[in-house]
Amino acid sequence: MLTVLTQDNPKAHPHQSVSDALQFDDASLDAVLVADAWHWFAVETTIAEVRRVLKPGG
Amino acid sequence: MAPRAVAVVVDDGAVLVMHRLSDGAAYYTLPGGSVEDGESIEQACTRELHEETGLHGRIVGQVMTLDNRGRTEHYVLMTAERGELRVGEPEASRTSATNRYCPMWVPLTELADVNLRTGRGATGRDASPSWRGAGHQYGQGSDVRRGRAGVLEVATELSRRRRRLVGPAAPARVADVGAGTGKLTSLLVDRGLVVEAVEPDRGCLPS
Repeated sequence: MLTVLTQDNPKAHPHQSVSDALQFDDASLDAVLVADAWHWFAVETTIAEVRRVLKPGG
Repeated sequence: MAPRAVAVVVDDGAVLVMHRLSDGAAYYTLPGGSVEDGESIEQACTRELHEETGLHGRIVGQVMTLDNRGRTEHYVLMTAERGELRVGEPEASRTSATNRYCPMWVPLTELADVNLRTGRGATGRDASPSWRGAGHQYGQGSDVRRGRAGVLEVATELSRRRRRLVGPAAPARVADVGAGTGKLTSLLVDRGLVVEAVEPDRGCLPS
């Protein structure tokens, strides 16, 4: 999937990882978006991880 | 009829408008007035802005030109250089309990939602002007616009230019988690965002 994504979107930065171990620094993202994939996630650990990587107010 | 020069003054992401109370109707207009003999559009805008609001403006460029019921209206983009916001003449002496003028700033993002009217005939509740696209400089040109559509078009045009007006902001950095084959990713990239696409499944290259 990530290979197809990279081919179709050369400007995007691909990261191979699961949702509750994101490879981003603390408070480094303005928004985290999920399209039709939330049902795959480990919900509680993902929420904590999203909270970690989002900037204050993000 | 003398063309009307309208000052679209933008500062820090907000537009200068005149809040009006007239015979029970509350609405907003943009500062402006007739282009007088021997005056350029830019001169008329600068003069009207100072007369009505007390601000000294600097011309940035044309926003658009519209035909408002046979009267040409030139919308000129300006920035406020100096001065203090106040009600000028003759508006101040026309002020009464039922007729008020109050210059104020409205954020660009809210401009489409406020009751903004322009031009003559804009004082009555049902007297919003109709608009024709003749002479329109930035759009397709000849379609007829009615009521607030022309004003909304100005707001849209301004919003489009907003990034340039308020200076380049750093693009937002967002993560698309569970990005799959990147359907959402491409929409985000198209919006100029820095997109971190997260997906556990690497997949294989199509042969």
